[in-house]
Amino acid sequence: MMRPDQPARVAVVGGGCAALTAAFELTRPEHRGQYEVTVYQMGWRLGGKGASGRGVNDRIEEHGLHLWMGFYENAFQLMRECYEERHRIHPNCRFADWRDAFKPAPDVGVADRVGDGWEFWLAQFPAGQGLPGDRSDRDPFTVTFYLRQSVILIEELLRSTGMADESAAAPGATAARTVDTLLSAMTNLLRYGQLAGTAALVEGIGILREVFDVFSPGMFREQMRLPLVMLDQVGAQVRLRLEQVVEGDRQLRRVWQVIDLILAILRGSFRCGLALDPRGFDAINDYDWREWLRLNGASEQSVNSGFMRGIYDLAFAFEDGDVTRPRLAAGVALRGAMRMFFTYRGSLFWRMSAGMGDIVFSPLYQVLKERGVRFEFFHKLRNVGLAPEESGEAPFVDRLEFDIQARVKGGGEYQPLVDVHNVPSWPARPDYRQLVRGEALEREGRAFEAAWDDRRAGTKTLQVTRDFDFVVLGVSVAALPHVASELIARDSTWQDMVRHVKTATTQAFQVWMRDSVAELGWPHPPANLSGFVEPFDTWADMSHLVPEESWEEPVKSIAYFCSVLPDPLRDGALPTRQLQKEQRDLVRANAVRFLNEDAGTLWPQAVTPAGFRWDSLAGGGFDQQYWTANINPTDRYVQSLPGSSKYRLSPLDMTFDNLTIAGDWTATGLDTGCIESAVISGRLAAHAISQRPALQDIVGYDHP
Amino acid sequence: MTTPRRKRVPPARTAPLRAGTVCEALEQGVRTAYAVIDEYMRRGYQAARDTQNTFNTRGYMNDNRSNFDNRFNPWGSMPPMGEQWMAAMRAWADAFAAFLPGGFPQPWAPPSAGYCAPQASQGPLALSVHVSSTQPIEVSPTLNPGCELIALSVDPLQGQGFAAPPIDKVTITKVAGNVRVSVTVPADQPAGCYRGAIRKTVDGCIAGDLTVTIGK
Repeated sequence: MMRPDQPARVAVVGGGCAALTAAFELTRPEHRGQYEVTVYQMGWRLGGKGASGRGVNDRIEEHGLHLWMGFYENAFQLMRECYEERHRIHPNCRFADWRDAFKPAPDVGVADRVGDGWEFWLAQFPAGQGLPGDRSDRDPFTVTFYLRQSVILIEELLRSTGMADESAAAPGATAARTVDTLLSAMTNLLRYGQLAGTAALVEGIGILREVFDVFSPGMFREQMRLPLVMLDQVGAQVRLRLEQVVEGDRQLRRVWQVIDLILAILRGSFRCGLALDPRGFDAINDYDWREWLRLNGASEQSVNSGFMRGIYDLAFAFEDGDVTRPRLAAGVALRGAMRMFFTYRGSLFWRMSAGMGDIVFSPLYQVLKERGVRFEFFHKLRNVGLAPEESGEAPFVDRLEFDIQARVKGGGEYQPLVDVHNVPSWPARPDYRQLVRGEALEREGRAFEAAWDDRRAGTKTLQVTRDFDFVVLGVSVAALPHVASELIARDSTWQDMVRHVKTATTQAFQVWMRDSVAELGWPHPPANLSGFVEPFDTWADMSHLVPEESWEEPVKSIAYFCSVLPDPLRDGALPTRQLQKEQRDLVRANAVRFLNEDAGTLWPQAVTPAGFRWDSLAGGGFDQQYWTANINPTDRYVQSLPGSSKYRLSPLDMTFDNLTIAGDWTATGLDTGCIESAVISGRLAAHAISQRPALQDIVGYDHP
Repeated sequence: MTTPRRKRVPPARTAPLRAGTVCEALEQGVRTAYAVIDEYMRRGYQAARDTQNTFNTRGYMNDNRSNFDNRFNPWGSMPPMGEQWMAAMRAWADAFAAFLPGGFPQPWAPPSAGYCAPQASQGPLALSVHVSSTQPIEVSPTLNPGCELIALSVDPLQGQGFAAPPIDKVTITKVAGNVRVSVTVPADQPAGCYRGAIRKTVDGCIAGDLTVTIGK
């Protein structure tokens, strides 16, 4: 019989970021071994949508483009701890410090369609105070903080137009005023100035800043009328100026567009009472982001700007992968934008110094192994079984059924990592030498990560109390109908979740080039660019990875492209082998067409009148490059469509009393598909089992 | 024998606290709390006045006269209504603390802890009055809501409507979150009503007043 002091056995199903975060939290030394964790992973590598592999010439092959944002506090905390612990265990690994593994990427660009061509707006964001994951004694996440920061940003943008300098002597620049004098100043300005002149507009914005300095949320409710009228007047002036900007001064027009968008946010926040609404920004989640901005006065020019399209691209926010249907929940977008622009630390973006697998999942694997976590690779979940309803107990999981895709020779644990330049890395293919019938499996072309490949070496069923006590279900939401049908059938909230929390298929390709990006004609610093032409709207210069790979021929630059892929499986069916091949061929065709027709806009020297210079690619042609169609349920990107967030279930949900869920598809407070959401989810899953970490220690979980 | 099945402990909550929730709850909670405190203090003072003769028979007084939660106080135990108010206030404080980040301090904070949680709720206001006097006196402090959280000072107490030296050995301090009023009355202080303003140390603004009545 189990003694009370016996460790609880936790089966973590899936090896993505959220699942491994849960394992990391449950095996902290502070728990003194209370939890005995086993991770069950399909195929040969960890990482889920973040998995990467080393292919030919040790090149890094990713699912897509992965960048970390400077507000990913939980994710960076996890990595910083993980690197510190890894360094103690494996002091000779390269990237000993997290700052070696993550580098600032402050240059960000968006593309604007101008006539038949494109223009690029590149900005270098200044370094934010501190570093992501730093300890802090304050919680900056309040609506009033964001509104105040928004007005300060408007003032800075105005300064960039030269207007603020013209009006340096405006009364708005004087010392802080009391509430009464502010109300009086607003009344006077609205009555006499009508905000028609430059000085009045600058003063109006100055007054708004002071309003946000002194007003408490309660005052928002009581004194809302005047600031709202003021915002209307200021907004009207801004839109007037936006229309007056001549075509030639596009830089100025973009600044006015951003001011226009921020004013719409301020106005909408007032009108919707976001500072006081118990739902926080979720109060506006039934709106599409652009629709909500329009309702609050943003101009068509602004909501269709490259800046806005960049945000939709970043979130793969196109329903069913259809780029003509941009849809993004307004509250999720507003929260994400506020966090992204006003709470980033160090750098707006951070890029990894090698593949995501090497930088994130190798250290996690090494640390978790050292802590005693067991890893069962080649375990593909088939079914999560519930105890019969007549058991009289609350619903609980009584069995986990797996296909064993391959067995390890000698019955030991599969050793998944390879060394590349002293960096523990994940190979792009399994090491067949470790597997029973390895040569035969390789010859048969086993696709261990493909949904369609059901070939197996055996089965395994884990029984509750005999083999496990708790389950962390860390597979993606799109896979649930195929592996958790009993859970879905049992509970209507699960039915709602799988119906409403939708995912998108994505496509990506990577090219290795013999010329540097500058030689190809890109005149700007290395950047991450969004809002570009479909089917590949996002490009990132990843040339910093060249030294991490092992090229014999000279490779000077690497480019990653990605975007959504029109969904070939809208009914949620599993992809077949044939469909997988067709979609892969489609991505190839898309990439070739893109390089022929659109790459010249980015790299004028990479094209001739006949099209792309294929000899500029390492290996001599496109077939030597890498591309992927992410259509497997576990590879699909989790979206935040309007009206969907309320159907997300929390890892804290108690519907099944021995199961918790983990993934960026769960209710995390952030509710977006990203690494930070996944880490928050993993921490919540750990809390669901162990009551640790405390919820208030999950940074940003309690957020408007 | 069947192996017992382990179950998850239900979490305290299953959703984030959006800031709007805290702000709204905080505003409403603070309003409720001050109403409770005001009413409690009014009833406490009334009870103290009603029982004054029973405790004021000794030749001198140097007792802790906390009106809060001290049934062994020589001022006498709280009247039943006072105890009810006290219990209500404590229940409110405990319940409300659960809604605040950091409301329940955790015994173990993982090394990863990022933003430190805000300080937990301070709990109910505790006011104690310390008097050193050879004469029978009544002490009545009045403190504006919210002022128990900030540094305070008190002016010398002036005779109200008669000429007398001020009572200047009067202090108001915060000790471990409690407001402590201390009054030393000279043996030859003329009888009568003395009054002085309680001020915010930071700006000198009035935060309440302190009245001492000697010889009634």
